[in-house]
Amino acid sequence: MPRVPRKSSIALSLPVLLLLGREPLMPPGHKLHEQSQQGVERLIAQLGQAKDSKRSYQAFLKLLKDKPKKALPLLAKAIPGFSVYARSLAFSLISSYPRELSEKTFRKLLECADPSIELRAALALYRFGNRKAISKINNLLNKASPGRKRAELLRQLGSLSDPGLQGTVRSLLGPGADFMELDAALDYLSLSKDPKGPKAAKRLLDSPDLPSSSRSLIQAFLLSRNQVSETNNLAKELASTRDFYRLQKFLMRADTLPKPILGALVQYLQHHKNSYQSRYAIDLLTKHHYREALPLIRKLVNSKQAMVSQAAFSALQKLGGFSDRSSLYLLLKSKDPSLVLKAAKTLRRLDDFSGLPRVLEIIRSQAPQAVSIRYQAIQALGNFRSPRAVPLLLQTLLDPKPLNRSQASYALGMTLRCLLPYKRIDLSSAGYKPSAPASTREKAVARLQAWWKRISRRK
Amino acid sequence: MVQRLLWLHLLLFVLGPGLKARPQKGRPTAESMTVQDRGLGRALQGFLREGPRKNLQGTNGEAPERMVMLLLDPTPSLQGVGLLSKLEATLGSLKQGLQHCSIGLRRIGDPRTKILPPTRDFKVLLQALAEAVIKIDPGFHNCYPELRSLANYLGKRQGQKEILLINLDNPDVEGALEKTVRVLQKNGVRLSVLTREAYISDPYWEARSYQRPPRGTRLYPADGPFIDLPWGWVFQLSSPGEVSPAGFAVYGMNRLAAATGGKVYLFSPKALSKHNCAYLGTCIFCSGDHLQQSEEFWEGRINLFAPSVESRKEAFRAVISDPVYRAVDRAWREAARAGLIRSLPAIKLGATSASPQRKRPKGWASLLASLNLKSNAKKADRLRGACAKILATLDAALARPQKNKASPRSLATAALTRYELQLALVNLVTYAAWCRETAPRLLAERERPPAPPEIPWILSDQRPQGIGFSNLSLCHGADAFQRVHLPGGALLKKELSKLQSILGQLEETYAHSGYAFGMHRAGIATFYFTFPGKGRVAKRPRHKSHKKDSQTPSLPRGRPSRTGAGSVGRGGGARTGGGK
Repeated sequence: MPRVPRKSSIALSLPVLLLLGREPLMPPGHKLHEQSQQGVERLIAQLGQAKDSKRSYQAFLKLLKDKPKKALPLLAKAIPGFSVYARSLAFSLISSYPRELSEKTFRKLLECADPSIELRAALALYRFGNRKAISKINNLLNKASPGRKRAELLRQLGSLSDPGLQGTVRSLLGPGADFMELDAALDYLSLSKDPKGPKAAKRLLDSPDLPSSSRSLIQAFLLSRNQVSETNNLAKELASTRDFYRLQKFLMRADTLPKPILGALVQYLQHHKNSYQSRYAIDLLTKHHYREALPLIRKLVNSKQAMVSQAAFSALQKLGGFSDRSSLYLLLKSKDPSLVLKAAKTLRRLDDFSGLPRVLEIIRSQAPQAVSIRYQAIQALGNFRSPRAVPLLLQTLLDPKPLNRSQASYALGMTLRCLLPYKRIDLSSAGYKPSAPASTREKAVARLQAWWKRISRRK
Repeated sequence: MVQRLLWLHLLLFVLGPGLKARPQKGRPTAESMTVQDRGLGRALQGFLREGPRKNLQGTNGEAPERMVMLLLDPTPSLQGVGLLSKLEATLGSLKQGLQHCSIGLRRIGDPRTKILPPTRDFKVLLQALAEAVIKIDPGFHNCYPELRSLANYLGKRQGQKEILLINLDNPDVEGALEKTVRVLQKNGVRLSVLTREAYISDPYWEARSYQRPPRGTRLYPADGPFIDLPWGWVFQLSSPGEVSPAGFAVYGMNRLAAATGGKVYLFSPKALSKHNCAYLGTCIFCSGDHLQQSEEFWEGRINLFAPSVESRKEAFRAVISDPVYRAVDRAWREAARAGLIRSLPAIKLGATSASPQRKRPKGWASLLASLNLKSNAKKADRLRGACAKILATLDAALARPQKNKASPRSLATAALTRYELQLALVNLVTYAAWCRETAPRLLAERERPPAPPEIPWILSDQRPQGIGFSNLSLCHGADAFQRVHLPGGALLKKELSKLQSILGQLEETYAHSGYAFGMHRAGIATFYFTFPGKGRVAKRPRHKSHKKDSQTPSLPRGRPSRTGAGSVGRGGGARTGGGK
């Protein structure tokens, strides 16, 4: 046995004592599963509560860490009363247990009389390799009441590719099918890449009783499987529909889109400039390099919806909409600092420094919008690698936020390495560290400022 | 009568080459026969869709039987490109069009007897191809003897005879080119090639003359019949020709296809089309996010500089009457004499004749060999004077009115030569100043460390052994360097602005072509001290008796890897504008 000096044993015990002050004294090797039934019950109740998802997640993490065996039967009982979010946490928790334990719990859940939970349990068992679970899934789908409830079940299937299951879902397609159910069924067939799906969909298209909205959904589905079909109905529907997000997911999966559809997307954008769904339309037009949409996308950069304006900006970059630079100069005058920053960055990448003064302005500004993007602005300023950026970067080394300070120190290092290739610079040699106390930082920055003054005068 | 004939012969001998020299316009170039589609599937479709030649007719006025032989070079680039599946798909989609077509297969390196004769049973063909692509050989392969034997083999058959050479890695292994042309022409075989893109006037193997080519061949990777772009400039890590995608194939492939009425299908394997400012040096102005708009290649612009597909003899004759190329040639020779460049022109131009250059260049002036900084600075100053003189002479020659007789390609070559001369001038200014100001300061820092935040470059116990250099890419223009603290003061600034003005002029004319690409990859030199390495000295093998020594050591058989630098800036060969 090595002899432990007395001093170090005292030193080691100090942090232990500090820890003891935080939590009640526990016997060594103590774990949650050895805790009382009550403790686990409390955590499961916390997991299932609908109001505070943060607390629910904390309970999930605690249970996940210790995996108490007692929790499984309790969970099996409690899951039907859980919220949707809590249910998904509970299922991940059960799956994290050793296989025999989790399989047992899923089997129990197959009899819980809630079709949604039963389906989820059956799917989990199927993923464990239990092929018999597929008959349960088929049963559940057939028995479920048509409409919203069946649609919910269909959405849980994900991209599970099983010919039997695909056959069941295909049998649900019919001219009288509920719109939501049809959407969910087609989505499943598209995700699982059912080889017989397009044929079934085409058969359905032939029926004269099919409502217009369902017709466009099927046409979008066929496009997602790269099948050519009549798309007039879809084009009309796209331009006016409120259910754009239902159609866009199919269109996103298509390798090519016919011109009328792309034209309809442009029309949709014209009428929905500030709807968050417009970003999907922009993404689609970008993906298919539809340059005819450039004038409209250029206007959408100023959309009130931040997601739309950002999508429009990146679309312009990808479609070459900034080749004449004039639109970028216009964006530099925008009141939205994030747009100004993006324009300045793009111009800098084109070797155009017109955006530099605006970036300097954003960093200096105390407006809340500018403060929120100061980190990005410092990063952008560093990329200019210009002597004009150095004084402000030196000043930003004193920023109250540590993240901004470390970014400024990185940006400064990058700039100085570029400007002074024959000098080796180390800010810490001047006493600067982003994590140092304020007074030390101030002294170091004063030293650095004096040095920079000397260097720039010499130039 | 005999006397008259003798006089006529003498006259033709003296004036012959001059009389035969034709103007540049109307000369055959690679433009007309290069297909820039880049996709393997599209290339195969394009080749197989090609209809029968007009002058050919089958029996009973039917379409003639088309005999196609695929000649496959089994190299690593074939792996993962899906040749088999693409060919299968193409044959499937062109079923109707291939009624009168039979296709055979031959693999380079197989015994002569192993050949799949042209067949209409495409399943057999696909099976043979599947077997052929399994065994890959990374070495140098000479496809020319195989082409000749295949041409003779096809020559005995009736119908339209064609060969599709699939040569992705070895188009630069050139052997008996004109002989192969003659054999192909004699047998009435049309040759098309599926190959990779070349670099403009690529001197890669010239600069690595230690590389031994396979017997009876030479390694020639350039796009034109001879290397027309000066390479190996002082203080440059790479040459523009080594890095700039040409938009055309290697000369040997172009020549074979052009002489037999075939086509060249360019193929680029999938790669990230990411811009990279520097090739061997670094870029100090960006972190790889530069949007270099002038490197989006334009087909029309590239076609202007299409290389010649004539035989070397004819190409040499053509260049005799090109005044701009003559001016470049003179500047190149003078620069080589002064030690500004470590190469010589590929051809020796006489008043009325041109022949291949046999002389060896003497290399760069010894600027980095010694640590005597004062002497180095003086040498650099002297060399700068010589460089300025050569530049002025070249400028004067280019300003003369006969300039309009020149081909666009030689004008581009001249422009790039002017740029390289000015760049050499800038680098010599900064080197002289480095020797006078910066290097002594760096050495003094060992005794008197600089004030923080500066820290010394050289540690007190380090002793420099030599001088090295690196390149800072000019992709962001020469003006960007005005804000960088480089040794050279006002003189450097003046030379930098001259460089920027030349660069600006060149950008106007040569943007969106490989020439602009080459200009951007040249660099301003930065210098540093080198130190002795601390690596272990490898143990010498124990000397053994003669009997065992007679066994020659085995050398690596594979082709040495080349760090390619297309627009993607990584391996995989040239790629114009990131492909299409």
